[in-house]
Amino acid sequence: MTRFIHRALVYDRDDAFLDTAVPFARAGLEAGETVLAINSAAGITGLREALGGAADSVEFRDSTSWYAQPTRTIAAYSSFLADNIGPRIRVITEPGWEGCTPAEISEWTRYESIVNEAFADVEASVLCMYDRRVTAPEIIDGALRTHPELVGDSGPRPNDAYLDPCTVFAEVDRQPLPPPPPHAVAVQVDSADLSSPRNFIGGHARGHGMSPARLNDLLVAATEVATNAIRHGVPPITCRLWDDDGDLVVDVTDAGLWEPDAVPGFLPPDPVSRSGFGLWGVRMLCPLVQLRTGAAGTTVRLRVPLR
Amino acid sequence: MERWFAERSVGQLLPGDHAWFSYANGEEQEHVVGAFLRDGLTASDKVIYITDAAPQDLPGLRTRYHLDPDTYLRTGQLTVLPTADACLTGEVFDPGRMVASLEKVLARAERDRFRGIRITADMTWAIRQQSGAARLLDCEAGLDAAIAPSTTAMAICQIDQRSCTHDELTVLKETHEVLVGANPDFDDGVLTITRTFQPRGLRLKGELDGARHAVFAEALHAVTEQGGDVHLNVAELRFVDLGALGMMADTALRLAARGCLVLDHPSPDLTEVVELIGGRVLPWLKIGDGEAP
Repeated sequence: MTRFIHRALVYDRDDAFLDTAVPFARAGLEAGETVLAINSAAGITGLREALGGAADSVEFRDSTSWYAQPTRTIAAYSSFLADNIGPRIRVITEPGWEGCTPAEISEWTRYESIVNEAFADVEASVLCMYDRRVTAPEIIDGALRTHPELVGDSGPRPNDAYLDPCTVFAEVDRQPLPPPPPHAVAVQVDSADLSSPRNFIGGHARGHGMSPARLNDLLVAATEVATNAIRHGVPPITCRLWDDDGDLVVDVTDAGLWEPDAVPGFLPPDPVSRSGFGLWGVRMLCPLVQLRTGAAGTTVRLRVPLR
Repeated sequence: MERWFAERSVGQLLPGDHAWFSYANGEEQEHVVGAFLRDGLTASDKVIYITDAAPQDLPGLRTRYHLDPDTYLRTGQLTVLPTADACLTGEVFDPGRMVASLEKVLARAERDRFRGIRITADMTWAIRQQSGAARLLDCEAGLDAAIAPSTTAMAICQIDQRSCTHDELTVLKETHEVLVGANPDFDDGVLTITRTFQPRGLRLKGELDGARHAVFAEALHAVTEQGGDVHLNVAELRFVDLGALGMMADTALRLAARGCLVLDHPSPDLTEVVELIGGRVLPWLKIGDGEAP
């Protein structure tokens, strides 16, 4: 039996969600599985009503906080798996991802793809639901490339358009980063003294009205990226910063070619070896982390909301 | 009340300082008093120690700083005054006699043209005598009058805090304007690392990042070597990077059965980072408030 099943249902009529979710949840409960439902407040209410008394045996989570940013979502799943040791887990989820920028949608698509690899050995069935009427077409396109199986009227079927994670990664990372705007400010990072770039980032961030907690996240993340560039990159190392639509963006570039692992920094590291801890921590701290590397050098772009 | 005191590390003491040092244990005494003696002896100051201990047993001098007291006793640079000669009448602590003795040795050292004069005494025995605390208070006023105007002399009054009540310590402390503590193990203007003894650990101040991982590793190693709980006071640590948090977690894991590693008084920002990325990944890091668990 397949250990990990990852299916998508793209629907466009009101009762399709409950028609699929309720029997799926009931079958899980009857088989003694742990059932987790991640949904909007309204979705949870609807599902609770439809399940009746059985709803008490289902774990519900709010999708807005669960899907705050991909690395935190994977960490939340890992924690849930560690806390719920049962024969098998069943997940019903409707991520939503409303109001995401194209870059964020790409990262969520990457996330959906990572899940296949990260949880390949986990005894779980995950049913991801997308309401075509309210979901950005790019999210649907992504879902159709990252779920090995699709659910239709006649049940699950293999997805011919499914792409393996490596291909999805390459696709996401092929999209070039827009160049920094003319109003970006820059500082050279030319020694192991990271106190001055932090002062530079801190000064500008406060000038843009960034909240202290967000600023600390950004400083820890930027320091980590700069430390990595100093230790493994090739000078010159430059830190650029600008504000963009309520966010602060920080680029750290160096002249080296970074050849990262297959899944760099998305999965919680092993607590003893802590391999990949730095980049994972950066991704936990910043909602959007983009890494581009090539013959021209390496850029890590961090994007943190001002508030 | 704290703001009325100047707090100085032992290496920063100035002439005219009449400093208070209540130590938690012998290790702290060796650290601080040893540095006071070493600095004086290596800078050709006159060093006067009022104690009944043998010169070989002066705190930290031989054990920590590898200086032979005999060398300095022979040249007259070091004087060890027994309490019977310096401050006892009969068997009883006599504040008047102690002040008079002190004025005499000061005058003598000045005549001998020493550039600096360092005086210290561990007064723990005196406070243990009947009405010792009151006599000690008398004595402190006289000492202060002798030392404070001096342009050459500095003094450290030592008390083993384990032998006094909290109230006694507070009253005695208030007769001093300067509190003295250990020299930092490291200080480059961005990060300061100082040993603490109660609780045992390190006080970190400033910013800790990749440029300072090596010195932090060294200090962490030294303080965790013998096992037992180790506290990192991070109240004044403005920034700490993920690498340093990882080092702390490694240390905590290494200590494991022999003790735990506690982060005392982290800022809300640091607590948030530790909770966000800690949890399952740095499960050995504990957050505390400076008290033993």
